Amino acid sequence: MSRYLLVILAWLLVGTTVLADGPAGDDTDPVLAARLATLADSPEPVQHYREVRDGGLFSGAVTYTGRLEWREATGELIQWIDTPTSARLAVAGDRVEIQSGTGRPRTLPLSARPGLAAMMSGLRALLTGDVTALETVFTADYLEADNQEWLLHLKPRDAALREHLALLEVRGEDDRLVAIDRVGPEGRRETMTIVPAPDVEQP
Amino acid sequence: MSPGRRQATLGAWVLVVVAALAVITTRLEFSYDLGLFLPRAEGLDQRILVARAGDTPGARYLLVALPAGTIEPAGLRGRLASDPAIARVPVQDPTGGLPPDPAWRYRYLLADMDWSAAALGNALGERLAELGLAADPGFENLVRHDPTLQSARVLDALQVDAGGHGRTAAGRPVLVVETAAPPFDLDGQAAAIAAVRTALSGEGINPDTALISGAGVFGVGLRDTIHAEATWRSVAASLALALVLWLAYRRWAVLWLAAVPLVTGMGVGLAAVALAFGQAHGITLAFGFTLMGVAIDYPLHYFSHRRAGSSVGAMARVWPTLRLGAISTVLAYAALLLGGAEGIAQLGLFSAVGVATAAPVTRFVIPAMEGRSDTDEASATATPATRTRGRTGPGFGLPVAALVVAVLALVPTVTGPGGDQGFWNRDLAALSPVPPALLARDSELRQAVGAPSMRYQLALADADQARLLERLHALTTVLDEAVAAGEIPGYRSIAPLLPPSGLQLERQKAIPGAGALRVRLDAATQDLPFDSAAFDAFVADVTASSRLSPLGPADYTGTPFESMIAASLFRLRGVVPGDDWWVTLVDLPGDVNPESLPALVDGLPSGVTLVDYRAASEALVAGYQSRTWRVLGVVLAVIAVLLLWRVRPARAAWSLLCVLAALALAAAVLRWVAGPLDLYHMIGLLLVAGLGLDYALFLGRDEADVTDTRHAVATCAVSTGVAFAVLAASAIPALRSLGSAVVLGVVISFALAWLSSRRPVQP
Repeated sequence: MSRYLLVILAWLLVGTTVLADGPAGDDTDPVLAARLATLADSPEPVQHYREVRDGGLFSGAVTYTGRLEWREATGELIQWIDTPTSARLAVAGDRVEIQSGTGRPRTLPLSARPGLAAMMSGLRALLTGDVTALETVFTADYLEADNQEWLLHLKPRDAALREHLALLEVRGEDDRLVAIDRVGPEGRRETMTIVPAPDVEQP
Repeated sequence: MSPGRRQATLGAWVLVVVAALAVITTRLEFSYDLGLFLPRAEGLDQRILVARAGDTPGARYLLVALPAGTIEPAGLRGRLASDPAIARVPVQDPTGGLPPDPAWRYRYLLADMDWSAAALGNALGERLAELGLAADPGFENLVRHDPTLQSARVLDALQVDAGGHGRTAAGRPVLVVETAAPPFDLDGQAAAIAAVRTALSGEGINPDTALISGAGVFGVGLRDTIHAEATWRSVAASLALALVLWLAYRRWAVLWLAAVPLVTGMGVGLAAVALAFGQAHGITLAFGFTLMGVAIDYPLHYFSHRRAGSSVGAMARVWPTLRLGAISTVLAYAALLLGGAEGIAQLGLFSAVGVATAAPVTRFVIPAMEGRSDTDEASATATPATRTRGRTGPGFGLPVAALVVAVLALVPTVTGPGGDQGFWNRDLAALSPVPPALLARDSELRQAVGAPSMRYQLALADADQARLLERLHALTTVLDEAVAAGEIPGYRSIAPLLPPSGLQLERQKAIPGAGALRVRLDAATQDLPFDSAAFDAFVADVTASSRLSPLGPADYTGTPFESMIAASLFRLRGVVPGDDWWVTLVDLPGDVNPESLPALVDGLPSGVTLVDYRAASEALVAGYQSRTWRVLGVVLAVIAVLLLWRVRPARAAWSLLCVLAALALAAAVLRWVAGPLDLYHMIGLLLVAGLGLDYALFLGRDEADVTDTRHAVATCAVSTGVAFAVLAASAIPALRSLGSAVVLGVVISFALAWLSSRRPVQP
């Protein structure tokens, strides 16, 4: 009789352990979820930014200015580059359309550009407040300071993806984004600083 | 039969069996090339259909839908591409990394390029903006080598997903994978499916949560289903047959003795196919075994006539009729030798030789195995069958009435709208056992990725490969205009990979030297923030391009483009009698509007053929049916002459009338109950003709042993009916069609012959 009790006890223990593991979604940080919700509720539909690039193909520092917009009705994430030359990138599902200046639009699958895909999925999740989508791709580490500043570390879950993007570091203050740092696999850091909308609206 | 003669008979039988086994084991190979079963094709479209034999555009694609909301893991494509079962992952982004050779190395010969400083400046301005979109080391490296994205220009035309959104309505990302094996190579398809599942598991995605679809998935699934279904139904049919035989004869020995002629006939028939063709198609065996089913009846006639109390001379009494029936059946089956396709000829040879073997084995080997006494056989030979006296004449009324009713029922189906298409189902797809829900899901995934049409292609043929590629280039120029005008959503051909040699040389001449290029680059980057050494790799690549020889199809051997080139450029025999021509195919998108195609083709250069695989297959089947029926008509006439020669005219006419009436009535009932008849109905009715002729010949005999004859024919009909009823209950269309045709045909044949045969006068 005691052996049967032991078996039942062992089964209960195993079962409890399995249940306690639960799906990844159960581990969602409620504070992070609340933060993303406030970001998504932001009345500003377009985020303007400035980014300085250096090295690589460039002879010196190149400053880019542009905009990010999430269009909920069409499910499109759009990025504009306004200076030094203009370009537009639109992501809808797995489809990316890139158009530079007045050139012919080029279409390609987002899945074929893993680095871009990860960056875009992170941006989309931030703009829509979709914490589940964010945690599908990234391991999220969220910190809040007393002065309402906060920091979100997003590390790609997929090892192959980390060869394209080591880390996304999102900085904010209260319910607004301050900057998004992209850290490449070689350690190069590029910062997209969120700026106020210029007085003259871009075309 | 004396012991010596008995031993000699059995010895000869053993020798024949051993010889057949030796031939089968040393000479026979199995084939699964469907082309063997297709008749001589007429026209380029039918020839392409036969040459492709199921390997139609898009049929090699596996569509993989990941779970909704997931993003494709970055390593998935690499895992897939490294598996030999996967030819390539067609959606390859030319801007995500360096594209594969030789398209990459030859990019400045494969597409036009504006080498002016202004054009370079414009391109570099665009790259400057794009580099700001999202930092990507892979893209930066590509721009170093290819700042004008010339490789994208070359490879864009090869994309299969140009028209799709890459995502289902439920939000599942869809990935297209091209298998190395053609769709009918089910082992290769199974390996590709396993590779996809392994790759998904390797990237942390549970393969069971993904949807994998495509012709190969259907084929592999059906192979397993059909194998399981056919196996248990065959076993069930065999058990049912054994039960009927045991109930009829109450002797276990009958069960294995009845199988001896059938099995011997199959072995010898297979050996004949091995000697004549060197290979046997799987379909030959499947249908051949069905047609050989007539041979199971031969020993049953003998057993019924030698039951207790009536055993004397049993074989002698049944043999003349059995021989006549067997010869008629052999003639009918041999007609398939003229069927116009090697597979059909194999089927005819196998079944004709099998029946021709089974009959004498029944006559000589079974009595020898039973050890029949000399007295019996002597009596048999010495005792002529006694004619019955005072019986009524042949009953023509019932078969005539049945024939008239059947013809009246069939006339509207043949003369109605669409001609005889109301009677015959020539749509091979209608035989598809794939559940409609799976076909609908496959269609949704194909639309999501804009996969090529599985029905339409454009074809060009030419004796000279170089001239063909020049004509293809001219065709794509016109197609580009049609795309720009919105007449078609897009197309895909190998033209971007194989421009005419002359055009490649022209482009090569336009390439500037390294010095000139650097000067133009300096001018182009004058107002741009690029490093002066940023495009050294570009200059080196361009310089190397100026030394290349023009690219030809052979240069793609062993590259990721090989399967695409092989599928779209191949030699085809018989386009012009006695000559091999080169043929190239152009894919049209899956959402192309069929109604717009005739107008499109009218506007294309002369010599372009629209290949409609569905129409071509229907025309092929129609031609095959027409030819088969013509041949069988001639054979029927020969059999009629044979019967008139061997039996009295009234009995011959009555026997043929019974067979014709049974076939017509069975066809009419099948048509009105199950819809238009298909290929498997036709094979089933062919078997019914052989069985029905035997029933009529035996029941029409004017002999005294009518009770034994009726017992024999009833046992034959019940055993065949029960066995095929098991198949008729199958959910697989092929088995259902075959089973229902045979069951219905046997019941009608038996009923007509039984009811209208002459009845003995009561003593």
